Amino acid sequence: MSEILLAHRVRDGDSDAFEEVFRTYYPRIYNYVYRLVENAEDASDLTQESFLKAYRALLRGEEPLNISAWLYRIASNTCMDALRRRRLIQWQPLEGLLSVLGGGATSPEAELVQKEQQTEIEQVLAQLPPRYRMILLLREREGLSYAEIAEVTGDSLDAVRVTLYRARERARKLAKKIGASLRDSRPRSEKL
Amino acid sequence: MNCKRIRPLLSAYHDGELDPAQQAEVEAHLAACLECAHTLDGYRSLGQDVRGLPNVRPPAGMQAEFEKRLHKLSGSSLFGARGMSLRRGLAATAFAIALVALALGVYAVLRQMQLPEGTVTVASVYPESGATDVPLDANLIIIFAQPMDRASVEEATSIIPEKEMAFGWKDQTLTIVPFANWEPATTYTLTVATTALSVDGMSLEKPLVLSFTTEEGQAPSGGGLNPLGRFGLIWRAEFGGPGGTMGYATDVAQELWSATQPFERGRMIWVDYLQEDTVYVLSYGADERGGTWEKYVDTFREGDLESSGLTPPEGKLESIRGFGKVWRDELGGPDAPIGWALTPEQGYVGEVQFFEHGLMLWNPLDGTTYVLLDDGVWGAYPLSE
Repeated sequence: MSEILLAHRVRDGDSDAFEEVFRTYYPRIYNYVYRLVENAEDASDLTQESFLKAYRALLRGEEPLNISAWLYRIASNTCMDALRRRRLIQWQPLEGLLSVLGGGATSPEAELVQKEQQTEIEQVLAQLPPRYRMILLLREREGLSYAEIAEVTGDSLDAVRVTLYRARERARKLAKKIGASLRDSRPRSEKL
Repeated sequence: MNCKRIRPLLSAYHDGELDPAQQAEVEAHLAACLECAHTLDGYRSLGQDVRGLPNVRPPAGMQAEFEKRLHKLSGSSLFGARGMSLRRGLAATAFAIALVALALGVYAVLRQMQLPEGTVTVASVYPESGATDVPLDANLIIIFAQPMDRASVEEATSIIPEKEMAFGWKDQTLTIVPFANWEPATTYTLTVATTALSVDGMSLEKPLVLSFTTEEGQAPSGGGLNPLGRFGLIWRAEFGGPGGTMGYATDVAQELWSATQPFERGRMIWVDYLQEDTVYVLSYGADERGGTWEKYVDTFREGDLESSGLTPPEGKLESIRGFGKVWRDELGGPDAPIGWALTPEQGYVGEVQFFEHGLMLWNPLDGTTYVLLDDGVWGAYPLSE
């Protein structure tokens, strides 16, 4: 279905059309969100919230040209917002404000267990600032071009280039620290 | 060949996002520079690892759950949908009325069938309803008399004028934190609808309605912001808040990659700003809680000399890389007023917020906020107990 047509059908109150959008994209968006927030329960909530936001936007008359980049944008903003909320709550001086977003802050013990179960690359991603994690996932995992990433993040192409460079440099250093020897012990490819 | 110039291009080269001239330049350099070729390999491995992460299967009931939520939303929004034809509109209206009637019927049955005796009571609230002069960064607190089903309470809670809120729970106490400060001299009405349930399934007898009016306050000047969270607390308690020595925040707090290293008589903090990496050198004054500070651009690049191989006194370290470069070139190395490093540098994701007259840096490793004022003085504020 063409994206414009779909937008029109949804706007005319055809929620079946939107169910089709959900069915098509939700496994991808869920995976992306899961890697951003590292928690299955939050990922499910935030994915659904993102799609509901998308639905409301279509009802309001928004007409996305590239529906997948548009969904990534909504999901990215929703997650960045949620991570910000999580941080905001953690900062409150009142003791015990721990349950945010149905999981939110974890105890040091739980964090340790979680860490042990994570692979090296998961640990690297987890320790990157959220923005770096987001841009690295969009590029390397979701395969978006710089122009598409710029559309998602609302940054200029230059900013995308610089942020990706910094994210990679940071990830490489973290990997070294965490002991992901892969980065440095792997044989170099023969030809560059 | 210039590694410093090539290095920032490598990442875009790896992505195939350079123009042909730049691409040729990078390729020529790579043929001759092992170090850069190695870095490129690092980017490739990183990409492989990220792509190699297993796909996660969405929870089984997710699609059904979403469709339910969607139908609920589309039912309620039919009247609001724009561009609807009259016929569709009428059909939609009839459908919506049928839906409402059905929902009411189901609700009545459910209420009789499932809801246990008794209702939820609220033990206390802050601020009290009708309160005035509520601080612009106040949290709202509701203490329920029963353990609550948190999701239903959060879903049932709304505020007018609309405001983004975060919810924090501790036992039966709900703390509502506004995402940004309340508007000055504004009356807000918070409502918790009767759809809020206790864990036993009891509902509120009537909606909880809490109205309060915020203090006059000063609107931040020139687009300034009131800082939130920990920075906000320190700003108010130590620096006089609005109209105080720091002025307003000039931007929201940012999460940035940072590193720190303690020295004999001071500390260095490095922050990865998008435009320019910066090293802050904090010298101790009378004690470790404050002193004077200076700022340097971090000019260290991969491939630069990491250390100059000086021999530190026993138990001390020579600072290396970016910190080392500032220490040697700007502070005089072994003669540096801050002395030798005590432990290796540590990286972390810190938080930074700029103000009209200074900045705040949060270090989660030692739970300390460092406040750097433009007049060259700094102070450390540990996590309050």
